[in-house]
Amino acid sequence: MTRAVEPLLPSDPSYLPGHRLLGRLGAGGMGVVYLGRTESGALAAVKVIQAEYAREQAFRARFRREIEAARSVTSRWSVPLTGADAEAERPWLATAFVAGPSLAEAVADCGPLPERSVRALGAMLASALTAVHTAGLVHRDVKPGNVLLAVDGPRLIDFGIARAADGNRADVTGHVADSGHDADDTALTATDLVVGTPGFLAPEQAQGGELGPPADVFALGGLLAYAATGRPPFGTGTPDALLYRTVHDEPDLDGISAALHTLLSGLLAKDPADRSGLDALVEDTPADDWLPDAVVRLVADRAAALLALPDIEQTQLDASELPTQDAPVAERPPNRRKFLLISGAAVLAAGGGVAAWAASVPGSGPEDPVPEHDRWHIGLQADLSGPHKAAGRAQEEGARLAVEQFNSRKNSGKDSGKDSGSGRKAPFKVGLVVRDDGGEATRAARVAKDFSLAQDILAVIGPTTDGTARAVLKVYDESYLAQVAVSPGAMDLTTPSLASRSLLQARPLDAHVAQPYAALAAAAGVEVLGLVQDRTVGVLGWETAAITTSELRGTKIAGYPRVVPAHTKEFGPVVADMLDAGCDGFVFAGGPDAAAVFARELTAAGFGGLRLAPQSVLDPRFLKDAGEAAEGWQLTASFLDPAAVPELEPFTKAFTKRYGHPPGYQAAEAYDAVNLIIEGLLATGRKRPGREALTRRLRKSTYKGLTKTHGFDPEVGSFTQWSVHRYEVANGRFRYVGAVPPPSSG
Amino acid sequence: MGHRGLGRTALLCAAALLLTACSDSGGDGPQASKPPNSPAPSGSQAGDPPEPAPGSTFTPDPDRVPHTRADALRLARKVAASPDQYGPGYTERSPYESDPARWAVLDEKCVWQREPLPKDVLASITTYSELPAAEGKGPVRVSSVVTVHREVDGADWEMARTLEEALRCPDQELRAGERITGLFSEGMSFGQGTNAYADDSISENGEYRSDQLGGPYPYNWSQARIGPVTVASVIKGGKGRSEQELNQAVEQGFSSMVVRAELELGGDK
Repeated sequence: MTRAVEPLLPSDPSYLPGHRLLGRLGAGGMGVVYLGRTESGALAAVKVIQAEYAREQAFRARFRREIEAARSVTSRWSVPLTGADAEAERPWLATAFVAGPSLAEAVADCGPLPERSVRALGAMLASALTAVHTAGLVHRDVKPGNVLLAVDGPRLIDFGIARAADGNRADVTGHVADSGHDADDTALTATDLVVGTPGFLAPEQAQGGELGPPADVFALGGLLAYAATGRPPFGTGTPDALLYRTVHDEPDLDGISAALHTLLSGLLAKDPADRSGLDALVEDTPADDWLPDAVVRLVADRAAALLALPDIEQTQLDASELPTQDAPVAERPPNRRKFLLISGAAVLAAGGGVAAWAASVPGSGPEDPVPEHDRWHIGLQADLSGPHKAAGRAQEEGARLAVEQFNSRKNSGKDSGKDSGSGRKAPFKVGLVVRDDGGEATRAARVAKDFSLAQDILAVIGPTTDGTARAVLKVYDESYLAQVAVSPGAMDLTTPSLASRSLLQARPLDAHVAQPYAALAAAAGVEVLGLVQDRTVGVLGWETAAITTSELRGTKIAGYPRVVPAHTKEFGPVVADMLDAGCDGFVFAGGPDAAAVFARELTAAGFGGLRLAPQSVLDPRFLKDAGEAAEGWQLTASFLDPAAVPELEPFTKAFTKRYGHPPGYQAAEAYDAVNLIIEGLLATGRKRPGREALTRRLRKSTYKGLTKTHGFDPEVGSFTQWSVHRYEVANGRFRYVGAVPPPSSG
Repeated sequence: MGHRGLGRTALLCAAALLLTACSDSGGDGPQASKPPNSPAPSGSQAGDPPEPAPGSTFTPDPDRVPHTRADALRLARKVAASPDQYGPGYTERSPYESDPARWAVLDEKCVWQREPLPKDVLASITTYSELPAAEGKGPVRVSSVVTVHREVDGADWEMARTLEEALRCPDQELRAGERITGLFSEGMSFGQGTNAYADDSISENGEYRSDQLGGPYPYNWSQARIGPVTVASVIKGGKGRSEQELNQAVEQGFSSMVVRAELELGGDK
């Protein structure tokens, strides 16, 4: 069962002091729990009580106590209060938000935890309860539903019924009545119905006796027994039956090891005086991998599903909280999903960003702890769900591989692909923060704003299209955040009058990609080169047409240009006109769909000569729609096919091993982009660079990557090197022909 | 390869001229002038579906779209910019208005000819104005062109043809003794770049030379499509006239035509 964030209703507040509300996490009889964001950017669970309850003085007093309790407890394993107001018309309380499942959900979904996990859980919760007791409080409601799991450790939540430890009488009634569905619960957990609270009450609590810290110890014993066996320690049934069994029966500890049996029996002693203390649960520093894989997957799923929501996307994000991808999990192909789950990549843990990030990256296990200040983040914004998702996803995969290889770099320097400075031990780790912009301009600008505001992000890769690149140009210019664009090739992005201070266009312009056409036509003996500029593709079509006509001047080849309106469906008359004009070679500068129609018309007219197109046509749609008519077409592109380049075999192997499929177009280029950025970061040594300094350094740098040498105009960020590749259609596939040598100068 | 020997830098610069002045081109590329409207170029990436236009595009009121030649001509005359709309001091030239039964067509030899309107064009007029020579400065000549098509599709193809002409004939003869050279043109659909005002737009730049007036002077053709109607302002600079004053004149005259076309077509923009 996945918790989801619902949009705010019109009647909901959008701000509370220090908190912006983003959506609804849940609603109960007494109020609503919202997902919010603090001024510092952290996510928070914000509980707002309905005014009608707030009018009851007793209720307000109780709420005040909860706030005081939450405020006075400071433990790594409890959730800190981020704000509260018991005196407001609608009292509210906000705590740091943990996206993970409750222990109850985890056990219900994944079964009992292994002993190692149970022991680690016990140690960390003992630490949290020690803090509660040190503050002079008794939690009184320790149960699987009140423990949330994050990759770095559990979080004890809900101080809603905590009381001062000295001499309070147990308050069974109110408690049993709303068991499992406490309206005053922070309501972060909604599925603890299976395990009712009574199953975890201490005998003295059940009997209405003196209530002190040992009551929490008993409850913790019951909670650990549940974690170890998957069964409530006193069975299931009506509250009355559970209370009776708690007082009179022995807990159900069947099937656990003798050592753990002894430990838990001590915690579950009926008489508080006989009960073990919390120090029985020796606190050893828990490993990052304290949870079994299945639960880590659940945690990752939760965070991913929750944070996929557009409501959250619109807000400012702190990189340490960002999931590493934000497209809905359900839409991802199996491989991506598998990866996400296995690596626990999308983990969100309040106050636990460090470990969450660490968990997402191989090579940063317990033997290689990474302090937070040593993890530097690169953002990647891409079209992962829109019309260019193939390119976007390939870029994400390539970038992720580069990050993983860098982070797993040891002194031995054994890397599967080429990377920069292998053999050196990196002074920092890199985190990759991935955001999907769907290829839409407005969404892209929003992502760029988020990245710009997240101070943890030092550089960005993306976006995927010219249109989205245009939409983010100004945003990154203003934040001076280095933006390495892998695929946008439009010339205007780096034209001096419009240029951004932050963009690095990491590929040759569309004009350069089309530059070889005149020579290819000459080599093919073409006399009249027909040239179609399809306005559907905007600047790309224009650059291709303009450069080709320009290159043809002074040659013996005549150019015959035709421009067609966007979305032209009929190419018959155009083809007839061009053949009439004597065209014996063609360039089609348009999209894959129109190119397919054009190709079919040419074939129908019996033409089988030179047919050229830029990378806009290097799309499976062209092959599918054109069928036989696609055969023999030649295409040029700014990217290579790593699987067809022998020197890139180590990369292709590592990639295929990592993802289960060979690298897509632009995966290797994105891999290079990450390493280009990492080179810039390494140049600063251990000192975290400022954005402006990094951007300037990158623009001045020359980086020899897998696919090409990168160099930039320091003023406008345009690409100053050459990298154009040729493909041809053969047997229904795009076949990589090879790199096109740079045109001779002068 | 490299038969023409354009270095990468020169190539880049030559192409960049399409978008903006390449101030430090070092003489390799054509010396295009800065487009008077200095539009931000746009377009979509390879294979993009066209970028979704922000907001709605213009939808004319069907009752106000002309269907007869007479109505079309009336609309064209209302929309064409009068001399004062280009700025103070602009006056009508003589003749002021072209023959409405003909329009300009670029022939195979890159020479403009006036030919009868095709049947899918309802009306097309060109009006001629100028800022007369004064105080040692040469005249600035402007033309306003309004064409009313029977269908939007026809107007779309006229825009495509304008772009095609600059590719086919970067050097053109306007009439005997008047030439334009080094033409670059660039199109932007609504929502792309700075085009937030018309269904489609084109800015074309080059240099103008006249046997009578000398040159080279900046030349600009700014064109927009509003539904089935296209409007264009053409400006030819003169001796001693600054780029800034030419820009201003085109901005005023051209934008007034776009606005009037929308008003006349009564759309819901």
